[in-house]
Amino acid sequence: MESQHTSAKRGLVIAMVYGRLPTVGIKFPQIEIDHEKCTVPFWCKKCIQVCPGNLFSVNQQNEERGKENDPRLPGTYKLTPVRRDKCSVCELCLEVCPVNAIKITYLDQTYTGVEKEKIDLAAVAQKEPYPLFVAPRPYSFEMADEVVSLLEGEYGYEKVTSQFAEAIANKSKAEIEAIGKKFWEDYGRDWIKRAHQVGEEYPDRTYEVLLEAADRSGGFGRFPHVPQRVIEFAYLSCMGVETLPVIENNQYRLIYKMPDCPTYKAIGEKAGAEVANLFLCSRGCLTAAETLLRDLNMDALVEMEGTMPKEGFCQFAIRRG
Amino acid sequence: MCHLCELYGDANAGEGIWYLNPKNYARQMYRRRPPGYVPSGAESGPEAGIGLGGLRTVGIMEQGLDAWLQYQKGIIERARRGGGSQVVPIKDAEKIMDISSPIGLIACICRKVDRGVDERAPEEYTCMGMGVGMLKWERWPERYKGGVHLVNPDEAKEWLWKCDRLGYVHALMTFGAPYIGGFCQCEYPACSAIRGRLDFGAGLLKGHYVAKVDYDKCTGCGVCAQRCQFGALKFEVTVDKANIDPFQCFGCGLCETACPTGAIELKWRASIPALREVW
Repeated sequence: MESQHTSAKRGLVIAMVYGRLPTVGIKFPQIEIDHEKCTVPFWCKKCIQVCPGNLFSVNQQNEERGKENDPRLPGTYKLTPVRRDKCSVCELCLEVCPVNAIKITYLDQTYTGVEKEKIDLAAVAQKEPYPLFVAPRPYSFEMADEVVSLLEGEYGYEKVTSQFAEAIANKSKAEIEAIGKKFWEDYGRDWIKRAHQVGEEYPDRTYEVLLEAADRSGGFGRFPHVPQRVIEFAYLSCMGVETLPVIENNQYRLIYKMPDCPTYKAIGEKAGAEVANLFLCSRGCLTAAETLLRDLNMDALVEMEGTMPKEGFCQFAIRRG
Repeated sequence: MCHLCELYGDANAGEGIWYLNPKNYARQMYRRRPPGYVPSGAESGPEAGIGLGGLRTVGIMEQGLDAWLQYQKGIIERARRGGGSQVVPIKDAEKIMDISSPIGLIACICRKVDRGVDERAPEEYTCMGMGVGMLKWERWPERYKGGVHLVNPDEAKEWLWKCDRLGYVHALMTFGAPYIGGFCQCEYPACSAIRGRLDFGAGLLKGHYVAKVDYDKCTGCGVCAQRCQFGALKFEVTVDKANIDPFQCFGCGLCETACPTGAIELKWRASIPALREVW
């Protein structure tokens, strides 16, 4: 972190060289829009496109999820004269507005433009064709509820750590190591295979879009996002976390982190700190990642970059071969 | 060194430049939600209010210098922490394409909201969304009018060059610094970021480079003079050459890519003593 001194100095220099000095302390022109008249601004767009100060914004109103607002219908968009500081009262917008909906007031003088023939813009607009976007089908971008319930019931950390503690009860250290290694490798393999299977059985729209895009662009995105999805499902369902921190996800690497691992902590509680420190559970997570990549036919190396006993978190790096 | 590189750079990745650090493009795809979860708030339409931020800014400008300086201090501090955007020349932009995934070409929200541009064909897109959020674009068809065209890095680079030829500035966008989720190709005044900086001194940071003219190579053809969006480059009649004000230069490199004789070169900002702290 930088020192206070440098920080203050920098702040000043940045302020000094920051673009032009804005005009402050004077009253800018007031612009009023009559929304009774300006019904379909995103269909009309005349003032927005003609203004040299680019001061209007047109924003959608009452958005409905998965459906595009029809700009031909009144009330779907609203015109706002946002950047009044850029208004020079050049009157171009007043000239082009087909319904005389704009009124500019500057220094007690009002400008409205010449009267035009009365038209109902919305009625004109609705005669024009407009291809609206409608979501292809009812969809969800979230992990399906079934994914969590199925995986958690079978592979949740509470259940598995209890099974582990039972399997190693009253065993010698050498036995524990041998039993534990096999236990966690079996667990990791079965856990991720089931997560993969459930993920395919319950696809979400995020996954569909990913696969469609990969098909179109020569497979780009399959790695890291297909394994990322399964790994996230596995951890979110079975490790009691809301999110799995992803450190890197690009075409070369997938790196993720399990902070404060509940499995590790539960082993400590159920089988003692000594057993937890053997860190046999790491075999589970490593085997899971390796199994998944093999099942997906992805050539990649899995490495641990952080461990619970040492760093207080587990971090796994999958590097593409 | 750039303060953003100090905060978010990685000496072992991307030469320490914060936007070449692959970690700043990473994000999880899913969240564990309570059963039957229904998205609300920003999640159901995060861009609904875009372009309206200026309303408050203009009101503060009218209040006078004291109020304005107080306000500007806040926006400068936000920009310093990376809560905004930064200009990137095309040679670095190409490197970014290799470390972000997925990459979606989209219609520009600023051009839509501020200029009423209704883009429906992918070949007219001038904006780019990066990261896994792009896989969920159908949540906001209003925002991504006409869809999202997901491409691979090679297609993305080709598209960047097309935008560069058209004369659009490349500027990346953070969504909660240091997460970089967008890459704008835009121009003044339609671009909220560029106009925010030029008119209000807010947001957009200058890039890591500064353009410099080699007067031996410059023929004074004036091609570059049409390209500068920042008022830094002009054709100077007195010397019959291009002149770049290094303090106004944002390092976008549009003049460099347009110069037919290769007379303009991008210099590393930190290598120029009095520009080192000028962002």
